[in-house]
Amino acid sequence: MMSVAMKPSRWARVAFAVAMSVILFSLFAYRGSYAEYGDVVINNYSDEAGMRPVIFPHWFHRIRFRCKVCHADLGFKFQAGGNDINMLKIIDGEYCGACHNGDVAWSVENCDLCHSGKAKTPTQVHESTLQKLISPGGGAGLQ
Amino acid sequence: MNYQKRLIQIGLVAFALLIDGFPVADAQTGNPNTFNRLMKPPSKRNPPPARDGIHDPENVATESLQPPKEAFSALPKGKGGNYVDWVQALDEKKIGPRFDRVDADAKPIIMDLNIVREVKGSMPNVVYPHKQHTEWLDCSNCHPAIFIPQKGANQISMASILLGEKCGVCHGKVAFPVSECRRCHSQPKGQAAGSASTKATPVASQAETSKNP
Repeated sequence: MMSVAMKPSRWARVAFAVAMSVILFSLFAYRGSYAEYGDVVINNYSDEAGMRPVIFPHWFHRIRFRCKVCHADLGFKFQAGGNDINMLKIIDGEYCGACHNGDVAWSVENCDLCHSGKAKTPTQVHESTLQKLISPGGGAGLQ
Repeated sequence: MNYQKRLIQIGLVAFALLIDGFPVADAQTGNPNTFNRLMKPPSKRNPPPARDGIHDPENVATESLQPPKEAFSALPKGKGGNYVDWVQALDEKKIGPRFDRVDADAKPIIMDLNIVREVKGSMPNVVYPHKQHTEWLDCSNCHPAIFIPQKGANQISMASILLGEKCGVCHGKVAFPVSECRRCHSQPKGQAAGSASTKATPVASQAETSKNP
């Protein structure tokens, strides 16, 4: 009787320890954000629409294109969230859609490749000097 | 039986207290008094998207995104920002970014003109090279909205740059940040304009502006 009663409690202990280790690990793993310099989060409409915010990796694009291609030819302003981009404009070939059309680059059906940010992440240029001045810890405190 | 249950309870409470105390201290060492508390350690630079804190690791496609380190491995190192020297990477043809959306052979229109700005205070003068900037950008990106293309017409301060204006529209966001002082403040005071580091040198100093408006 006693040994039967003891076994579940041992298992409970093990399960508890495992659960706590997971919580512990996640606490340690998340120490603010360390996203790449220049990554732009665009969350003008995403949250309300129930989509993840968009993260634009500047570094990836500047390896392939000079700044001028997007910022002069395609008319992207130098301002995070300042371009009023929506999916209709993209599928009509404006902004991201000038390349992300299945021709120059992969097309709009890959929703989650762009809409990949954590929900509620505000529009920002990540790791920017401005962001660091406001949030010296460089942590999750966002503009 | 009751004794054993109580023992387990005590053990669990002790365990919970133990882990509760940890997050207060430094994650790696458990020591709250570490060096460079607010600095990003090298191990945290250029993390893969799933661990960068802004990408959602629950999103399956996040795993498909390229980790920056992989892309940067063959590029010359820089001191800040992405820790890549992008200008050098372009000079050494380590990267070949297109100048046109579709035409891979389009060549940039380079303007090789240095502008020297005599600065107040003890810092060396700023040499602004059009060459490196026109490799990446079109004239219309900066002129006339950000910089009026006229000698002495632009008031620039480090404060405005830090707040994301003037040079700070790019520097401190995507181009190398202001911590790399000497890349701009590169000409010692008193050095004649038109010397080794400067070719054509219209001098645009703020001091001069006030004298000859």
